[in-house]
Amino acid sequence: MSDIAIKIDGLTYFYPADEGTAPVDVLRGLTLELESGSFTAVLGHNGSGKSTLARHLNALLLPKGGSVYVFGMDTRMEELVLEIRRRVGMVFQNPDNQIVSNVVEEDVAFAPENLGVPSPEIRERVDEALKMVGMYEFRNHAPHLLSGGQRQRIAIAGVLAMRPKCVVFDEPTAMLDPRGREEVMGIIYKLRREYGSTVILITHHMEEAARADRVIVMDSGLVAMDGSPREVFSNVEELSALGLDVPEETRLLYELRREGLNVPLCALDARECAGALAKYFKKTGDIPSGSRTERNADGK
Amino acid sequence: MESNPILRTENLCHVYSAGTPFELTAVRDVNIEVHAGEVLAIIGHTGSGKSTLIQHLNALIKPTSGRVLYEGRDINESKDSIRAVRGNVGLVFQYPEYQLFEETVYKDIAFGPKNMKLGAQEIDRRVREAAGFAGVPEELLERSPFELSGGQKRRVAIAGVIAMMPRVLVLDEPMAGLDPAGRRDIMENIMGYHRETGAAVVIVTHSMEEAARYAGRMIVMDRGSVAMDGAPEEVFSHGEELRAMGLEIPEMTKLQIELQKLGIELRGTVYTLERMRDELLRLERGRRRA
Amino acid sequence: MNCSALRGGAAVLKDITLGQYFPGDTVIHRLDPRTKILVLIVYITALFFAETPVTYALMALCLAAAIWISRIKLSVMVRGLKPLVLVIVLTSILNILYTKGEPLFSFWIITVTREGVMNAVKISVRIIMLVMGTFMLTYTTSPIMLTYGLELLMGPLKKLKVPVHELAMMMSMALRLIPTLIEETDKIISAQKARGAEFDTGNLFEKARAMLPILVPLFISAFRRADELATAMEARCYHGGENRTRLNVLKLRLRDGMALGLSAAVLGGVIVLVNMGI
Repeated sequence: MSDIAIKIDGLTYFYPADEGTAPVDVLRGLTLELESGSFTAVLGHNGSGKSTLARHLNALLLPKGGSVYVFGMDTRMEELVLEIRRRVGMVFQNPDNQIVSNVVEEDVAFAPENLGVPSPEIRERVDEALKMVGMYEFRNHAPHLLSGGQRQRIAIAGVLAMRPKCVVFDEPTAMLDPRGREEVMGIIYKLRREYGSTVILITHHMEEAARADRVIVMDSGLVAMDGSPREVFSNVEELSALGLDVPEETRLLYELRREGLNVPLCALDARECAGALAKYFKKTGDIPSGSRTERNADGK
Repeated sequence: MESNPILRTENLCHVYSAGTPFELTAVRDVNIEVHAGEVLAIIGHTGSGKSTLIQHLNALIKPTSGRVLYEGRDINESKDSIRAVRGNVGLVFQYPEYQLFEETVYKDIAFGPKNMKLGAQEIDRRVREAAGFAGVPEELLERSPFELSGGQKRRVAIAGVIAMMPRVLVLDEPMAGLDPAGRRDIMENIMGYHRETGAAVVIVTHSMEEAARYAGRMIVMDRGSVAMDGAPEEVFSHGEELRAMGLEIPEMTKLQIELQKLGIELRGTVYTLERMRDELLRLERGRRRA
Repeated sequence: MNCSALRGGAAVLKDITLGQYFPGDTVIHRLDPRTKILVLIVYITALFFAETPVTYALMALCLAAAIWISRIKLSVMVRGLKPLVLVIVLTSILNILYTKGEPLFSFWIITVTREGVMNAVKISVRIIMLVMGTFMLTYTTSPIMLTYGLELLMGPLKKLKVPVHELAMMMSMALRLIPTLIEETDKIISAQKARGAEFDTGNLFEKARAMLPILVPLFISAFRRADELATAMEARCYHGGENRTRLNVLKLRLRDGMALGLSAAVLGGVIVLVNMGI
């Protein structure tokens, strides 16, 4: 499938200047196409323009130059705004600042209510969205008494109730603990698997980006790198220069290569890395027993 | 290590809303020690009681039972002892940038020292020194804190606590929400304060990598109690238990486990990248010799 | 040792239950919000008519019955009253001091009268029952339903160009943010205390000044949150009240009629009893 979900052409944006200062260019002629059904991670240090880019995808911000097309719709067409926002849902960093009601199911119903969906269908959508994120049993709870991860799941359900074709996640795990992070990432994978949604994930966590189909690295308002996670993470030095990390496994391989070991450039998780190392060490001789002897010799 | 802890808790308990239907035991019989000059990481998932625990360390919360001792004296003894411990044990909250309030960065950093009733000259010296430790450039001092970037605000807030020159600096998730470079820089600054002044540092974190990289000792909290207390090597060797508490183990320890499954044995528990690299290079030397 | 007493400022803030909603499935929870708002208005009116011990007892009985049916814990109600203690004490003192009548005792320039004490008791009971009645509405009605009810009740005002939907939405957002901002205030107070701030020393002027380190961050945070919330609402297709539908459509049922009838009867009863001097 090679439908284009989002097409960005020469996008520029600047925030209006305060008195006495020049306007700050945030996006400087960015061009990008995202395929329908793809999972793209966007990386970049704070201030690289990631969030500004995200806000163009559902017409929260409008281009100062260039254009953004969402499923063929120009975001500058005022009469299309609701349709665009319905198709492209957005989940923000802080769950507390995107939940509108003190009751879970009323919050999830907010978007369909705005869209004028008939009441029985709203009920259907709310139940479906809450089941999808595993929060159906909590539908009558007060969100502020739930954990951060649970609150973020409710925020996601609130977006899914619009039945969007594309969901943009703007650092959805930044404020969560590891358990909450896993909950949210689990939903993102499920969204891909079961709904075939187009997913755009803005994140600082390299392990999360490693599981995308495509990684885009932004720097000062432009795309600095673009490719599969493997292609992007293989450029350890370039990423470091942009203030970013690579998955620890990849950094390990990079350092081993510098010591002259002929290991692969990149490994995205522990299992892959172990496999690559085992392959390397086992090529010559029986290493497991060798290492065991040495272990004994070292007497620890 | 040192024999006498600078700060310790003695059978510390804290119950919220005691006697109501909302009663909640947040901290249960906790005995921990912080030694002068060490770096200690406190780990636990949300709701494990670590936030309640650290707020006891400078008398922001009073124990329901048990005591907190700074240099052997009960910190809740009197108004004076509470005032003293607020200066000796500095506490940086999560997202501390949201507590900035003054017109200039300088004044905001000076808030703590002023409350300690120090002289103007001493306040000035401390503001500049603290700004230096926290990585706040001189030229920002006269700017409004609200014009700064998120990372800079965080530094100003940390400088505001460092300006009190605490002997124990406690930080709750100091790196939350920052990008990788920002996280590293902030931690380097905190470690700089630790190295140059010999102050003890207590970091509350979810990140096992960061705990492993910086801390000499780790305390793992679970459901209000101390579940583990020891060197990182020791703590990370209990991978299964950590997972059961909703915690991650460091990537490099995961890698070690995967390697073990494939028949490659490493010595001890590996939890940092440097250690892993050195272990693998040792194998490599063995291989080349063979 | 009693720890809650020692926690000071933070404990008081946690007691503010305004804007809190306790989900449940009782008859009172299920009543139409419009009914509940009207019943509350009738209840407050009746409370102002009630003058005699018997009528007060009748009102107290109604309130107690409502609390019992709603299964809201009495301790929660009482906790909600705590922030009002000062108001009640002040009005009582003023009443005792400024009501003329049969003197009970006097010292220096103060004379305490029988009528004064009676008035103070009456006013205190009235305030407490008024607040508890209002709690019954907010505790058993979710903010969204509450504002929906208000919006419908004020519907006729739309003809007069009153922005009814916008007002209702503003109120609903305010109620939504209250628990978050209370939590935030707690955090800011602790953070400033950690920097050696003291809020309970010095004269009135110094105390007021000492509030700045709390108020400034709190305002900034409230604006930031409001701004982010507005963006999130826009992202979820909010565009004012036009063509909006609802998850739960309000329909008046038999129980609503009965509740309204019952409260009207109580109001009538109170008026009759008071006029008969009972």
